[in-house]
Amino acid sequence: MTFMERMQKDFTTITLALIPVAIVINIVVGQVVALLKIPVYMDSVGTMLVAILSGPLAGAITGVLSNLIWGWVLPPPIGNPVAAAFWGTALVIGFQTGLFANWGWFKNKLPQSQAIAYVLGAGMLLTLLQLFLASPTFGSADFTPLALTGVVMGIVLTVITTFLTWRGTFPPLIVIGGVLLGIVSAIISAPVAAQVFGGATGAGTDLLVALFRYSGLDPLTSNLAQGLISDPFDKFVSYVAVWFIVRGLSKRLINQFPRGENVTDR
Amino acid sequence: MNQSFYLDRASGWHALHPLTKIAVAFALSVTAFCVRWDFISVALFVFVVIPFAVWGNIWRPVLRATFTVILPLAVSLALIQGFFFPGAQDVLFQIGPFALKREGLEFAFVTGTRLMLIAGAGLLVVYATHPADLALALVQAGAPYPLAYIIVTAIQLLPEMQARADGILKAQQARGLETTGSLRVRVSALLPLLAPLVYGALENVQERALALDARAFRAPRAKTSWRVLRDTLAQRALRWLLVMFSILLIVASVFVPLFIR
Repeated sequence: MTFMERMQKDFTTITLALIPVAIVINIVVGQVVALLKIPVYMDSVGTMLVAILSGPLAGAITGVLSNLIWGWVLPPPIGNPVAAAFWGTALVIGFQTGLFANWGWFKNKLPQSQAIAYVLGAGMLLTLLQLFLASPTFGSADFTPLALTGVVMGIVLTVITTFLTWRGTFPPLIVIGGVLLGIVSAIISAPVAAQVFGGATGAGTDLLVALFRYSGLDPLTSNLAQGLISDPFDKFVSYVAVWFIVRGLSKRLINQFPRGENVTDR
Repeated sequence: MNQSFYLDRASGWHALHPLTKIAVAFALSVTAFCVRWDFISVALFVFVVIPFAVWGNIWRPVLRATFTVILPLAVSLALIQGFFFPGAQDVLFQIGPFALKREGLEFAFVTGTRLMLIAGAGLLVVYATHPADLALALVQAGAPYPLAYIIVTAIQLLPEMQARADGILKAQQARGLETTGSLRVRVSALLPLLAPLVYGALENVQERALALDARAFRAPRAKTSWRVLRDTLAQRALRWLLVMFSILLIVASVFVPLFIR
């Protein structure tokens, strides 16, 4: 199937009707999460929803438009030009989530033992990554206690998700998807944060950047390390939220979307 | 319900074609990135952005919004770069184990003022351009029509959704939902707040799709627009000049070492 055919198949009228709603969901959900002072961004839930229901291309376009509108069309304090510079990250979030959904990662299909093995593996990978970031090898020996929060979060997350997988609460592969997406988006965001903004974005995570810089890391690596600490958790939490949302939608509505079979067994 | 930046003023700047305004902002941003002179962004801000903002009678909101956006960033930048700039030698003063260094502050100044210029130039455009005009200009320039639909609908939906979010928050609080306290309490408040919000928003998607189809939204014919954009030959020429200038500057900054920042 050619690119244009795929576009035509994914961009049905209902996809078009969903995209602006998804953009607004990105913004308002992000605001509610900030209001509750929960330490994640959760500003891509709508993008992920489009990606799951209408495919990677629709997801990527939603992500890009979302950040551009957020950055340049809405007035402060909602609008913030900083968001516009990270359109590349939003594109990848939409595209990659669409791929994961196409691969059936948002369906509950694995046998229990295999599911637990996958989730344990992903959780251990995340914890090891955090351990590496906190270790002297990486250069952050001077403030190990703070960098260790990532390790603690990794362990807590592994235990919770393993328990929930054992109970069959959500599809196990979204744990892996969230961690992978977090790593990729950290890699894509870091050069933008370091080159365009000189390492600061005015958010609370700047404190982490400062600590890595203090330990002697160069600007790019410091931003990468900050992203690798915050993004995998953020994307994983977002995936769980999106999965709960999709699960609550009626099958009749889901099947109107071009990729409805990503989440239902027709 | 003015939820876009747009401020309706009768000014020459407002009357320009949206693409002309975008070309001005683009050329300003490119210049700030390519010219190697520490005060280029400040100079452009003072001598171009502010006069244009005064011309458009929007200088007050432009300045206020620019500083709301830039101030937290600038503070963060000054601290991170001032204390931890790689290879900096010139210590200004010392607080405990941390040393504030001149090279870092200079870098923070250049980056911070550059971001200030880009934000100011962008705000200059969005405060003087109705979102529907922007969308129409993009479509007339060859962008797909659905793009216009997405931009305009998102802007119209946002205040509606925010009002709904506020209503849901108050309703759930009235039922005894705790939204402050430990992290566990706050995380468990997430679902009762988000579920009604998101399902409410998705409820209308199907109706919207039906309404669009009923109005032949997907018909391949060109759409007529209620709004009319004024464009002149002079503006078209100016746009091409600004774009050529920007491209030349980018190319020059790659090849002429004097220009590289």
